[in-house]
Amino acid sequence: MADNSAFAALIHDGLFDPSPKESILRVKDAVAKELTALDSTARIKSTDYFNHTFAPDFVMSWPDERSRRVYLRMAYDLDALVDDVALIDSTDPLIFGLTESESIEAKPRVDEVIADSDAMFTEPAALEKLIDRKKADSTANMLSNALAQGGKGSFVGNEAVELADVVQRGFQSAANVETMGTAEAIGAISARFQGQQAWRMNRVLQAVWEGSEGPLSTFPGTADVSGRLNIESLSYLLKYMRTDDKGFWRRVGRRLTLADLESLNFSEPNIQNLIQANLDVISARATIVKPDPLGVDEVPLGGRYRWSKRGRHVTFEAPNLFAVIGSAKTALSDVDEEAAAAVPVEAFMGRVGETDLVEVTLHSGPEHISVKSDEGAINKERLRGVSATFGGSAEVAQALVSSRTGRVTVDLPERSGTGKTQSKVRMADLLMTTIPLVVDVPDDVRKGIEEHLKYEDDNGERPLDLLALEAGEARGEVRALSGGSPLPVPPPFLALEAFTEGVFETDWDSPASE
Amino acid sequence: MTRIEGESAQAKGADGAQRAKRWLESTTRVNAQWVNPNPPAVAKLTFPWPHGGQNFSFDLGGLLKFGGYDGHEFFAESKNYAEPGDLPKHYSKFLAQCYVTYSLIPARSDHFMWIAWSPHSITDWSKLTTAEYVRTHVVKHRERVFGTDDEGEAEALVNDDIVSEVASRLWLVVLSKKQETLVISKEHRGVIDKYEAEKGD
Repeated sequence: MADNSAFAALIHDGLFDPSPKESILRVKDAVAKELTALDSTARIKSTDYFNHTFAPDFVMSWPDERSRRVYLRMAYDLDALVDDVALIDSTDPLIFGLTESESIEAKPRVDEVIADSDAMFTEPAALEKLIDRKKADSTANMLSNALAQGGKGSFVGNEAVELADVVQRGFQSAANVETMGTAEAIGAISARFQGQQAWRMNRVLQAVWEGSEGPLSTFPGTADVSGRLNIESLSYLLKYMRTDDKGFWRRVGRRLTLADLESLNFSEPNIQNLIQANLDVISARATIVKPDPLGVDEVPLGGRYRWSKRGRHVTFEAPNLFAVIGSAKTALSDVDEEAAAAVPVEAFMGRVGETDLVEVTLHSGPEHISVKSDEGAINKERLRGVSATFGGSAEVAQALVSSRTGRVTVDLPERSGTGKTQSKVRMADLLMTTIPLVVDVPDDVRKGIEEHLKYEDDNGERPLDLLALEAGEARGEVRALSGGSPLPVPPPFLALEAFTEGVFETDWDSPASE
Repeated sequence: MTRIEGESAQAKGADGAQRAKRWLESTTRVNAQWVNPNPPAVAKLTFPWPHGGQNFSFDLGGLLKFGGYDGHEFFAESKNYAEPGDLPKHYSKFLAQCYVTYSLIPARSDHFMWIAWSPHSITDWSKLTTAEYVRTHVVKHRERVFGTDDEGEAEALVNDDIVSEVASRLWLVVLSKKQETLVISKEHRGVIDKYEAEKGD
C-alpha cells in the first residue's frame, strides 16, 4: 500500500477485520464516507450486498433523479476482476477497487473491458487525492462532483488529480482567453466524462471564456450558442466553485437577470458573491419594503446585509427590514400589503438625505399637490412652504426620485418603489432609492445599505444618461440624439400644480401602466 | 449507451471458487462475499485443526438471503474437477472441517456447501449427508480432530449432537457448465436487483 490517506487506510483495515460482519460494516462505512466527501450532493444509499457479482453495494443518487450504481471489488485476482467487471449489468457503473496497488495493476485489463461504456473504475487513494485537493482548488471541487456523477474510464493512482490539473489550467486559460490550455481541458473533459457532465463542464468553461471577453467564434470547443450561461451551469458554479474572487463572479454574471436569480438556490453562499459582483448589470423594476422591527424574519446566517429569497422572490435583507424585489410591480402581487400610511412632510424630509427628488405629491384629505423640479433635488424649504398651504397637515404620498440608472416612483403608503417604464433601473439603485424613503432607517443602517449596494459601472463606462432623457421627455423637449448633445436645458423650475380629488398628475408609472 | 459486454463470454479465467460464487449469486439468494485466496477473505474462512497445529480453510463464505434462509451464514468448498478422481478423499476431509467449524462457531455455521462439477461416491450418494457418514469421516480424521490415532478412542470422543447438526446443514451441489448458464435471465435479475437497490426509498 503506497498511500497514507485516511479513507484508503480505513478501507484497508476494515477489509482485514477477521469478523466478516464487522469487516463489511467498516469497509462500507468508509467507502460511503469517501463517496460523500467526493460529492456531498449525492445521496449514498448502501444496499444489503457486499462484493456481489450482480448487485451494487451502493446507489448514488442526485436531486435531479439521476443515479449511479457503485460496485465494490477486490482486485487481487485480476482474471476474476476482469470477468466480474464484464458481468456488471449497468450502463455507467462506478467500479470501486478496494485496494490501491492491485487496482493500479488491474487498470490496463479493466480499461479494455470498459473502453466502450460509460463505466468508471477507481480506487480509494485516487479519489482521496482529489478530495484532499478540494480544500485548496475550487475546480477540483467541481471536478469531483462531475466525476462521481459522470466520470468514465479508469481513475487510479494520480489520474484523478492529473485530470484536475488539466481542468484547472483550462479554467485559468479560459479566464485569459488562451486557446491552448482551454482546448486541452476540453479534450480531457470530453474523454473523461459522460455526455451530460462533459457538456456541463464545457459550458462552464465557455462561460468563463465569454466572461473574459473571449469571442464565442474562437472558443476551442463546441460552443453553446444559446447566448447565456444557462441556469444549470450557473447553479453548478454556485454549488461547486470555492472562490470569492469578485473578478470570477463578474465574468460569469455579465448577463445575469433577476429572473435568473429567482431560479437559483440562495442557500449557496456563492450567491452573495455572484450578486454583489454583478450589481451593475442586474435590473429590477419593483420592490416592496417590509419593516421587521423585531428582526423575527431576519435570516439567521450571514451578514447584516445580504441577499435571500422569500418564496420565489429575491429579497434584500438589512437590519430590521427586508425588501422584496420583482421584475414588475405585478410580479409582487402576492406580497402582503402593509397597512402603512402616508408620511408627514417633516418626517419625510428627515428621510430624504441626499436623495434627488424630482417630484413629490403631497396630500391633505382629498387635496393633492404635485411639486416638481426639472433639475436636481427639490428645494426642501420650498417643499415645506408648499406643505404649509395645507395648514401643516400635509403628508407625502408619492415621490419621483432620480437614481443613477433611472427614475423610481416611490409610493410611501405601499412602501414600494417602481422603476419608470422606459428606464432600466439597476436593482441596487431601486433599493438604495426606495428603502430610505419608505421606512425610518438609522444612519448606520443607511450607510450599510449604501455600502452593500455600491457598484462600479462595467468597464468604467458611464451608463446611458436615462435621467436626462426622461427629464427631457417629461417636458416634451426634443433631444438632438444624433448630434450627441441635447438642446440647452431650460432653467430649473418648480412646478406647483394643485388638483382636487380624483385629478392626478399621471406622468408617473403606476401599477396599471405596467 | 454501451453496456459492458461479457456475460456470455463465460468467466474463462475464473477458478472453481469464482464460478461457484457467480452461480450462487445468480440464484439471487446468495451473497458469497468472501472468496479464497483473496487476502481479506483468508482470515474469515480459515480455522485451526484442534490438533497438529495446522489450519484449514473453506473456498467461499457469505450469506444466504430471503425466505427461510435469510441472513444465514454459509461456508462452501468448491471442487472444479471434471472427473470424480480424489473427490471422495476431499469430501471426507470437508466433513471433518465442518465438524470442527461447527464446534468452534456454531452460531455462524448455518450451512456447509459442497459444490463440485462432478458427483463422487455414487454408490453411497444417498448416504453422503447422513449423520452416520459424517461420524465415520470425522473419526477418519481423528488425529487432527481429536489428537489420537486410536479409532476406538476417537469414536468415544465424537460429539453426536454436533455430528447431527453438521449433517443437517450439508448441501451437495453438482454443477455443470451448461447448468451455470441456466439461471435467471439478465433482464429478470435486473428487476430484482433494481427492487433490492431501491427498496426503502
